[in-house]
Formats: sequence, structure tokens, C-alpha cells
Amino acid sequence: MLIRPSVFKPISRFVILAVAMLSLYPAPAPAAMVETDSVLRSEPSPDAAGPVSAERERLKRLLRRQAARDALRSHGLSAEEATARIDALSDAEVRRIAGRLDRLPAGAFHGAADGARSAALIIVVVGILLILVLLFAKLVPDDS
Amino acid sequence: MPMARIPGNRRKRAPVFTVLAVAWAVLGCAPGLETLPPPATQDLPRRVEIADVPFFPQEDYQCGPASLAIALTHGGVAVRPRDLVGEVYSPARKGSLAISMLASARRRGLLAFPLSRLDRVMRELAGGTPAIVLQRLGPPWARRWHFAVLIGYDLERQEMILRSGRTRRLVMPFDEFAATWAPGQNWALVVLPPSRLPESAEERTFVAAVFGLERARQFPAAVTGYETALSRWPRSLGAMVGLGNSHYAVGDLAAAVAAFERATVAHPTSAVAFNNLAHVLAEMGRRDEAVPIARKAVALGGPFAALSKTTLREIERGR
Repeated sequence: MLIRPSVFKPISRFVILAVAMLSLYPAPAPAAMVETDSVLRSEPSPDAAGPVSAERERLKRLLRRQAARDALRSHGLSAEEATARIDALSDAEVRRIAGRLDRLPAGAFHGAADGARSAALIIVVVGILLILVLLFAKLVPDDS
Repeated sequence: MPMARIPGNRRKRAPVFTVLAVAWAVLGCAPGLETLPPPATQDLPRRVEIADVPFFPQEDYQCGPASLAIALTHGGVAVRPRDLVGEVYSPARKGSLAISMLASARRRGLLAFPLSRLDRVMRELAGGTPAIVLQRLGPPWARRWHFAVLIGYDLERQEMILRSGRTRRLVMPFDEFAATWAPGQNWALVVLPPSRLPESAEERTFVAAVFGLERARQFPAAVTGYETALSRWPRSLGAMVGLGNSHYAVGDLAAAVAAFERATVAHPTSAVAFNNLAHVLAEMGRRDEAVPIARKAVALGGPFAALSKTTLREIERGR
């Protein structure tokens, strides 16, 4: 059976969210080191007071990362490469690009080659115009 | 991943087309965009050109890998543009995203420090560091995004000097540069060894840049970066915690303890410092020392109170 790829993203998001929600329930958070990131955030998020909201914050960050990875994969990258690129970003950086990856500028200008292409296009357009004008001049009957 | 075939790069080009391309870049500029705020440049050298910046003409690959290779090589990591294509190029976008450039520099152990003010970029140039910039070039009907590398400026002649595309030394007037730079939110990036402080570094921005190395799992580079930060800002909590976490990540527990201890002394109200210290001490088998420190972390509370409680419980239980 064929499933359209566009269906994958919402499903995968739902599954991630569901699994994440499950983890919110009885199991206590494992003892762990606090990441450097947490002391770098300039302003603590207003609702980070309770353990539940701290956990919710963490989930939001995970989902944003997943969405950014998905977006990079849709740009033709392998799963590993998309993960490696997003992993190298801080949460603040991921937040800045969240939801905008498809619209962010991709540097591609090829200087001379693009110039050549544009120039060729203009020459072709001017040439066609010239031919049309000449043809038109031929078609219009002379008075003489 | 498979090497991306980049279309349309193998054409023969005549120099006249370069001139045309540059001319269109000029034509494409919106007039009247701001130039430099004069007071910000008063203490800068009047003229700077970092002549030893290498040059990789963008021939077979795109401007992203070429610009990044120039900056990385100057920063001490010798690479060719083609080595970077797989790390920065997005095939479906037929170009390179700025964040991929940032990530790639970090994945190679160099500090990626973004900037968005021209006077700061000039300060880096004056300090000997070239800057990658994102520009929007081309005529209005064929706008293109382009990465180039700033290597200098001339305040008297109001010019910026770049390595760009296939041009080894491109001179661009301030106005024109500002107009091509503004559409990409004045995005600029300097790439440095983590032992060097950027000229315009502030504690928060620099430590955040070092944290990027930690995220990219370049722990030895992150350690160097945090130490650089501490030599300039000896009380930086972010740098101390980051240093401890980076040492911990490579299994150097003694060094991690030293870093977290320093953090608890300098910041006796940081629950994070106490929690992480307790965690590492317990892992080293120093339970008796770890328990009071874990209690202190719990007493301090804060957003990680639940985590601190779990740390304490597990230490008391003896795992």
C-alpha cells in the first residue's frame, strides 16, 4: 500500500509527542547532569518554575529539533547528516530557525556563471525581438 | 552521503560576464541604505587588508563551501571546498544555509561566532580574522543569495574588500555592500580557533559560541573555549558549568569536579553547579562528599529541583 510521504511528518510528530507525553507520567526523571545550556539562557522561561513545566519546556525543545531535522531531510539530506547539522546548534539557534527553514536564504549565487546565464538570456530575448521586428517589417507591404 | 551534483557550474565563462554580474549587483541595490555609524569606527585602523587569506575560486562547487573553506583554512583547519559540500550543501535548495555553515565550522572544532554589525565585523578584520558574509546579489528579476568572505576595508575610500566567487580580490563600495548585506539580516560569521577571543566578544555571546562546540561534541575544543572564556571572564558561570560538562563528557571526572567546585565557590546559589558536582562525585565513588552537596542543590531549588531531588535520592540509595 502506498502512503504519501506528506503523511509521514504529522504521524511521526504525533508518535513523538505521544511517547514524550507518556514519559511525563509516573517515571521520575533520571538523575542527570544539567546541560550547560540551562545556565546560558538569558531569561528563565516564565513557566519554568515547576517540574512539569520544566519538562514541558524540554519537550518543546526536542520537538523543535525534530521539526528542524525533518525540514533539512526534505532538503535532500540523509537522516544522519540532518541530525549532525541540527545537533551542532544550540536550543536558542534552533528556536531562531524553527518553522522557517524552507524560507531561509540558501547561498547559491555563482557569480560569473549566473551572470553568463542572465547575459545569454538577454541576448536571446533581444535577438528574438530583433527577428520579430525584421519579420514584421517584411510583412508590412511597402508603399513603393 | 552521495556527493551532490551541482548543476550548471561547468560552463566556460568570459571575464566580461564577471563585470556584468558585478554591474547587476550594483543595479540591484536599493539606494539610500545606511552606511556605517561614524562614531563606532573612530578607533579602527583606517585601512585593513588580510592579504594571507587563502582563496578557493568557486568553480565546481557553490559559494557556501568555497567561502567556508577560505575561513576554515585561515582559522587553521586546512580543507578544500569539495570536502565541505556534504556538510553545508542542501541539494533540494540548490544552495547552502547559514546554519549549516555554522554547524560545519563547529563540527571541525572551530569556534563559530556570528556577528551582525559592520563595525564589529571591521573590528574582527582589524584583528586579523576574515568574516563570511551573506549577500543578496543580482538584478531584481534574478535575485540570488551569495556567500563571500570579507578580508578588509578602507575607511577613507569607503570600500570593502572581499574574496568572492571567482574573484580573488573584489572591491565593493560601502553603500553597495550594505545594500547587499542587509536583506540577509546582516549575517556574518567569523571562524576562530577556540583559544582566541573574537575582538567584539561579550561573555554571553562568546560562551554561547563555545557551547556550540559542546553541542557538536567537539569536547576538547569546547574545553579550550571555556578556558579562554574564563581567562577573560573569571566569574562566568556558563563557562565553569560548560567546562565541567565537557570534561565529564570525555570521562575526565577529576577535572570536571574541579570545574564544578570552582562554580559552587563563585556562585554559591547555583543549584546547577551543586547538582552536577554531586553527580560526578557520586560517580567517582565519593558518596560521603556527594550527599551534602546534593542536599544543598535540593535546598537551592529552582527549575531543576526535581532533578536535584532525584540526584540526592539516588546517591543516598547508593545506586
